[in-house]
Amino acid sequence: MKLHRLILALLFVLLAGPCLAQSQGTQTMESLQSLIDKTKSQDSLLLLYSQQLEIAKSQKDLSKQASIELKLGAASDYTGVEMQGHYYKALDIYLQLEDTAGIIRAFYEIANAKQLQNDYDSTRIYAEKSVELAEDVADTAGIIKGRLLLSSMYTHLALYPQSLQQLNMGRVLAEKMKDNQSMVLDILNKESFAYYSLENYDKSAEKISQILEILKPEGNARRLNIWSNNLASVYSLCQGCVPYERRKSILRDAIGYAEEANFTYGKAYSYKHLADTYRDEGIYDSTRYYLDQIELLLPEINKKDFTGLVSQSQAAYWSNVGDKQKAIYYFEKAYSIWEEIGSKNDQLNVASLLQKLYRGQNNYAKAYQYLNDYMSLKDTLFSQKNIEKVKELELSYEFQKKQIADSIKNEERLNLMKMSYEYEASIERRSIYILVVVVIAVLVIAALVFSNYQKQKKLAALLQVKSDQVTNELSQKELLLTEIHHRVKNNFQILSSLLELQAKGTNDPATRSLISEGKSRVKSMALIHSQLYNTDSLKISLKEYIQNLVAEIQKSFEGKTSEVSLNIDPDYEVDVDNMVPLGLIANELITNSYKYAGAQTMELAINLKHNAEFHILEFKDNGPGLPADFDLKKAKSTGIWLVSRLALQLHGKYEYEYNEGAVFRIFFTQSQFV
Amino acid sequence: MRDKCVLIVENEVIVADDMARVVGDLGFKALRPAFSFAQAVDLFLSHSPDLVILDIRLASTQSGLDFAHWLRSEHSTPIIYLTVFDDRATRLRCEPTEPTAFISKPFLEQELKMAISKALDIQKNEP
Repeated sequence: MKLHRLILALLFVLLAGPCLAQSQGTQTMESLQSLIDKTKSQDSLLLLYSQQLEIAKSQKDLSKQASIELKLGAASDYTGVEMQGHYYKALDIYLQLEDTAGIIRAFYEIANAKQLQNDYDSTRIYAEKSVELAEDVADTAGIIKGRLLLSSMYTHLALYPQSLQQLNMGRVLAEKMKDNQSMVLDILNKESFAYYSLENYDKSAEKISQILEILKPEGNARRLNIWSNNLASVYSLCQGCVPYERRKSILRDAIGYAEEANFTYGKAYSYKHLADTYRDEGIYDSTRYYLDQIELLLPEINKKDFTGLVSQSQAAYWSNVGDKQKAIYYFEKAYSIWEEIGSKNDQLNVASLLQKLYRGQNNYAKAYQYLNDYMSLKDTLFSQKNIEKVKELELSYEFQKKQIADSIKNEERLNLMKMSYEYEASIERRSIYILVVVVIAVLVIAALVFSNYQKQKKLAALLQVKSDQVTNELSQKELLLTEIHHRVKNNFQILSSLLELQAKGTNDPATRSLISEGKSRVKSMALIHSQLYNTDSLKISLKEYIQNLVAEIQKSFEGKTSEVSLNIDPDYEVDVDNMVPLGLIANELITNSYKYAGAQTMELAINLKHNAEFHILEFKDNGPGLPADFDLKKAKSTGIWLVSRLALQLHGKYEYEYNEGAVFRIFFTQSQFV
Repeated sequence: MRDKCVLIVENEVIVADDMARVVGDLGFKALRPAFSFAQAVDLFLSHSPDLVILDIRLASTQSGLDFAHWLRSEHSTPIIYLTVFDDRATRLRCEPTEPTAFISKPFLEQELKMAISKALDIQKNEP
């Protein structure tokens, strides 16, 4: 405490001067260093290092800063958190300075700090980085340190084979180094422990033997004793892997080393191993002898655990030689010691042996008691062991998972890169495909559309040609038809003129009358053609025809007043075949009405009627009618005769009556063939 | 004062003679018929008729209508069309030549006589 106060006082003085020069800084640094060398208090150390760091910073001495950070890290507590912070700072500085040795060191220390925090994954990463970098610059010590750290980490995770691998690589390197002894010993020790943990006692013993070989030339008897004892202990575990003589000779050497080093505890340990060896061999005299030797040394040693071990050896001896009471005594002594120091595993073994012994003596109460103890201990231990085992497994599992995850991540990253590259390439390829397909599709569609268009154009042209042809033909036909109509009418005219010219110069009224009748009949037929020419069919409107006919006939009887009324359905049509005779009949009857009408106005009503069998065209005038003596048979040249004949042609008949004028009824049927 | 003379332009001689008979019956003189456009022009120029009875179809590529147009370019001589082309379209085409009558074939004698009389009476009353 005195020292502590002194340091603080000194610090105060040192820091009081507000304007310390650069040289003063260096002096302060040295003073601090001398203090550090003296101090052992961790808190004080941290304080002092912090001051040094401040100075180093003010002096802008990076390498000094880094080395102080390393020291601060080393002086930090063992949670590893603070430690890690200092090492990270150191790493930063070393990276800045590109100081490889410093970087290797910082990596190593960070890995170490990570291990303290049980962050084994980070430990591995930093340790491996450290090893890699050390390998790059052929820093053998750095490599070995890193490998040893890795091995230690694997040991923590109970991954002994991996641990051994690291150790082996480390040892190979270490063996090539000068002044390598402590390093090689350390590695061999660790290897031995790893094999021991794997219950590979042969190998474990082999490693210890190597240690002994290295130690012998040096002649450190104490260490030789310890390692000999360890070797004997390992041999005792590998049941019968070495002859008893070998074990005994090792132990005799060990006793020799112990005596040389005046190392009582070591000697007692050797005695105990020797006693156990003899007991295993069944040589109980010698067992007894060595046990007695130990009993003499026990007070001087005064170690409870050792006393417990010895008591167990005693009990085993008494049990073997048949003195159950003594055996029970020593076992109970051992049991109470194990109970006291809390060594449950040993307690368990002893309880088991005790319950057997008591049972053998029919002391069932005691037997039951130890059995009970044994069971509860076993449960406790079992669950404890299980918890540990589970923890171990969990740790190892987590670690391996992380390792696998790391490698998977790397692989994934690689695959991802590959995939993204391939994906891009495939997209590019695909887009080209799509483009090609689209272009082809467009071309095909365009071709189809074009060919269709061409076809349609051709078709339209063809159609145009055809329709032109048809139109042409039609117009030609129409022209022809018109021409024929005109010719027919012209011929009617010639016919009419011929009739007239035949009677040229004749003034005979009878002849003139005949000619006039003939011409009138021709005209009535020509009218049909005029009407046909103006319709599209071979049908004639009856009403229109009668109207035209009346108008024509009227012209021939100029000066005669007339009133003609038509009662004919304007839609009623008659085909040409029937129209010619019907027209001639109408011509005769209308002409007659005009011809025979008196001085008064001629009145004529023409009506179309229908009954079930016939169409009836009725002509009714106000004239005198037929003469009373009219005989159709004798009047063959008259119009009435013509009417009767033509009615026959119309599949009908005619009726005549006098009813205040002449009434003619023409009964006719229409031809069914038109 | 000479007799009124009529030029008949008609390619069918029988029909032309029949028309000439009608003209004669009325007391007018019919020139010899013209069968073609050229004959019609010659006869018209040589005889200066008082009336022209005109068929549309002639024995020439030029029709009666062409002759009517030729006629109307310098003369006001009355024209009577007498034709089988009695459709409305033909009638309309003939109207610009200001015919006194339009009679369809076969003609009724009474109708033609009325038309001739009417045309020549107008001529007669004009001066």
